[in-house]
Amino acid sequence: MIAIIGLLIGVLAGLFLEPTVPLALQPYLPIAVVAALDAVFGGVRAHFDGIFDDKVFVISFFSNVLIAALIVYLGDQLGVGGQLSTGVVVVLGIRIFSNVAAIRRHVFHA
Amino acid sequence: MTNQAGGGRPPPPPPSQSYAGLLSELMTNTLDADYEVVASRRSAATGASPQGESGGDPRSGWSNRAGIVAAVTAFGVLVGVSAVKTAQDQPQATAERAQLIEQIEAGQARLDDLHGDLSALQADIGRRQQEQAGEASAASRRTDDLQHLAMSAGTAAVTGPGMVLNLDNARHAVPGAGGLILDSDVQALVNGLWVAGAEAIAIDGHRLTALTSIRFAGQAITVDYRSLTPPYVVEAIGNPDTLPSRLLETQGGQLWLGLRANYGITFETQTESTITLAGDAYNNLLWARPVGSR
Repeated sequence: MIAIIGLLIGVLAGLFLEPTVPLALQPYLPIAVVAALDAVFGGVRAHFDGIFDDKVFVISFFSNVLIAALIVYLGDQLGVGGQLSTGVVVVLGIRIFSNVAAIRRHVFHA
Repeated sequence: MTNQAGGGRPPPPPPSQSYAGLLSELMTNTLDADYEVVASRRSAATGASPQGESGGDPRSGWSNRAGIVAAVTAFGVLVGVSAVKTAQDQPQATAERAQLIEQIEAGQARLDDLHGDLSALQADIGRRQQEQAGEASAASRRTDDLQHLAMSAGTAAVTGPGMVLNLDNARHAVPGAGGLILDSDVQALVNGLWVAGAEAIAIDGHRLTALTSIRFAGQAITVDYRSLTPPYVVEAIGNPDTLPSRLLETQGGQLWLGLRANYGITFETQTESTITLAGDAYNNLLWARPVGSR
């Protein structure tokens, strides 16, 4: 419950405060969102699996975002930023789909 | 040495993931392994029975709750900012596109304008060329008019068929006896020639114009103030078939027939197919001006 409230507060803050994203960080924003999405769905699945842990969730969330951004940054420096971000999105997307499938099985028992 | 030392122990089994393909591993191990590791460690610490996610966990407190809230809030901020950025970028792209379309349309309108200008200018060029052609023909027409007028006035040289008259005093003529040609005789002859249809007349090469005088000064006849001596040659351009006969029907012609018959004055006429008469060079009008000009 408190997590949902935090999520709402965060979304509203992002929407209405409109914090200015530095130009150098703007390419990594979509990747960071996808990585955060993966961590969040992983946490939800762990919750349904009964093995959720606060510390693990927090650490996995921030490390996911950071590493995803780092990989894309590295790709940018190497000149393959587009391909690397595609790869990151594919891997994270597969994980998200699998986690959502597990959640679905828990919720609907199907 | 180390081989012997390590040889006693069996090598640890490789992790099961290394046998699976990359894709199948991706598909199967979707959850962070940390959750299981922590859960198994916690169950080992608290006892055999695994607990709920936060039931009796001593580490579950406000600090960890705050961590979750911070992470979720950060996630929300990320999502919100992304949404805002996308929403901001889209109108910009749309605006740029609209601006480009506007520029294209403006350029096309300008192109159309230029095409219109081009056709208008081409039509103008054609019209001006026609005007110029008309002016050229008008100029040549004026030149022709001027030529005609100059021929009529006697200032331009003319050529054409006509007749030649040879006049001379009677032999052994003495003043007062009537055998001398008088200025009035010549005047009568010239008038007769004009009446007979002569178009240009010259006496001894002096072209007769509207200002030419034929007078008597001393013993000589002067034409245009220049004295002439007999015999006189009068050349007239006109229809050679009718000019001599019509001349003889005029008063001047009759006079000269009488002079020839009564006084022996020479009066011979003959037709020529080509006579060339020079123009009168002394035709400068000093005072007369065309009406309407200054």
